[in-house]
Amino acid sequence: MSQIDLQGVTRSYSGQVVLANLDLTVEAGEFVAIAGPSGTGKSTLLNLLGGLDRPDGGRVVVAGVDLATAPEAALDAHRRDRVGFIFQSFHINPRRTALENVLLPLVFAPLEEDEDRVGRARLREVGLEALADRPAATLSGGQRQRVAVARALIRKPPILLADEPVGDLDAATGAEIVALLEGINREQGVTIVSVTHDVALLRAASRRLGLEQGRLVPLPDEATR
Amino acid sequence: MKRLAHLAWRDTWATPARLFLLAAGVAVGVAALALFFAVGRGVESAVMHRVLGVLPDRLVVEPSATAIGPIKMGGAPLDDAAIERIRAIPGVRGVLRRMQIPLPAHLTANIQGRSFYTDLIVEAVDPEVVEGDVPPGSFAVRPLDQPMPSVLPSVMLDILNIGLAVNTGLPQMNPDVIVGRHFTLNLGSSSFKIGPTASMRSEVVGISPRIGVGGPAIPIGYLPELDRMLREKGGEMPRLGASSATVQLNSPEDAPAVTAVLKGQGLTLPQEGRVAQVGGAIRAVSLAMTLFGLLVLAVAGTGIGNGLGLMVKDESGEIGLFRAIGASQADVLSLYLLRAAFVGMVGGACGVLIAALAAITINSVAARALPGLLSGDERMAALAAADVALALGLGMLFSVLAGVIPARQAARIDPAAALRER
Repeated sequence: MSQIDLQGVTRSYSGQVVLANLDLTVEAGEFVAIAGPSGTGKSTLLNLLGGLDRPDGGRVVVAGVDLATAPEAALDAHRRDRVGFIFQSFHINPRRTALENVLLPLVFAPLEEDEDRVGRARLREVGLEALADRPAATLSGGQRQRVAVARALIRKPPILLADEPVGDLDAATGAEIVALLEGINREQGVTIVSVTHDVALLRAASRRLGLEQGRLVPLPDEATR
Repeated sequence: MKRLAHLAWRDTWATPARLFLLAAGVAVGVAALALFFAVGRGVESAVMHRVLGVLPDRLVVEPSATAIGPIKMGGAPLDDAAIERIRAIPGVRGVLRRMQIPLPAHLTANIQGRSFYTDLIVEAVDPEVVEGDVPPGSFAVRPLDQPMPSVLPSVMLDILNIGLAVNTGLPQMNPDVIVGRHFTLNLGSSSFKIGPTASMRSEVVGISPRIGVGGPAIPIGYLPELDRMLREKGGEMPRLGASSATVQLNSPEDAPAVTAVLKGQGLTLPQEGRVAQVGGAIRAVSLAMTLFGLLVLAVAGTGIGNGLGLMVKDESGEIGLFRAIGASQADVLSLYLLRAAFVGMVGGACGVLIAALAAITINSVAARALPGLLSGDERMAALAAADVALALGLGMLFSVLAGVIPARQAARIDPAAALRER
């Protein structure tokens, strides 16, 4: 059974069809990159996978749970335990320290382990342990995105959903984040589904898809050149 | 919930300027409430204590009087058996007697070189009747070569100041001037009746509202000596009973039950009606002031509601993030209700501080402007812990109520839309 299995998914906003009868299967440990013009529904697809939104029709089965029909509490649990989010604009609170940002999800779902130690370990994995106690306001864009990656991984979810994770970064910093995601996928076996316009990220993915007219299609190799 | 509270507390303080802006209304409301409670309590206590002579753990009883038309006939004095019956009532700690001496009497004194003479009625009382109005131990039987201690009724000061001083040019008297003065008490004769007279030097040791208004009170322990002196002159002290008694209660809560039994024994409580009237009037004014304080809090609540509403709009991206990392709608609702509660708490704490400063100022001004009304540890604004807790609780309650609508808005934010907008 696939870790992610979408069948016949449709989603419209104000009468405009964004996703039309979309199918997608993702196996555990895959790194899937999805490209497409702005407004084609890439973020909508990630929101459906993350349980932040529900489809108008079809099935969105993630780790055996159909998020289209699951009760609200099951969606909360899905976001807490099975997926981690990374956003283009980081969504890091500048008033909190790097460590406090990383530990934020534990407010809603505590760990049984020493949380401070786990938080610092996650920051070490993204190369920021030395900056753990620095206010996020003093961090660069690339560092903030690393903090966001550490936050997404704090509860060791099996799936990472990345929405344009290098969209707000320069090419060099973006490449560092791509390498970081690649390493997380390869070394920790975390499934990654990322929407992106970034060629480097597309190249790093094990499977590349394009979103056209509400459906996913394989992306030709030319798109990564 | 502890983690949510910690997060809410931190986020509340993240923008101190906005916090204090929101909390200002609560601070004013809580300050007004706490101060109104304090002034109500202080004025009630001062009026009851100083004007009516009422203490919360004491009841004054008298034999029932019989009225025939306009003529009121006092009942027979309370004899020892009647006093014992009162002592036996559950909730009664003790009974203090006040015995009006049915003999003519007058006092003579010298005030600033001028002779002073007045007829009066003397009372012999158990020393505990005036406890708190005199220095401890000062109203007790002394060796006979020392002056007999006496206590003057509060109303006598008014008679001296308003009546006599105006007509005679005597100086205005206050307790500090009167206490320590000496006079001669003559028992057995007055300007109306001459008879065998016992005369004793006496020292004023205090002023009390809890004794008869006709003249000074002396300790009951002096009655045998006065009787001996009268007998030497061919007279005698009549057999005395208590014209009234002060019933000491184990606690103020015992008052209703004890009152009922006392009435059942055919006794009257002369202060009951006056206390009810004065207390009712004071409580009515306090209630009006409390309603005003609640109105201020309600207005402040509206401000908090609007402020929190703007805050929710401002923080929609963060709320979207909370939902993305696992917060439920209930978590978000709780988070913003907690923030509303913390705004109320901070505002309430500021309000209590303001009320405390205002109370100190009021007490300082009252002590100078109304020296006759307040004495000892009495305060015009008596800020009690219970009042502070109630005002704080109401401040938080209004804040939380004001936070319900914004908190529900926060909980219902579409996380996907909120994350997209940021």
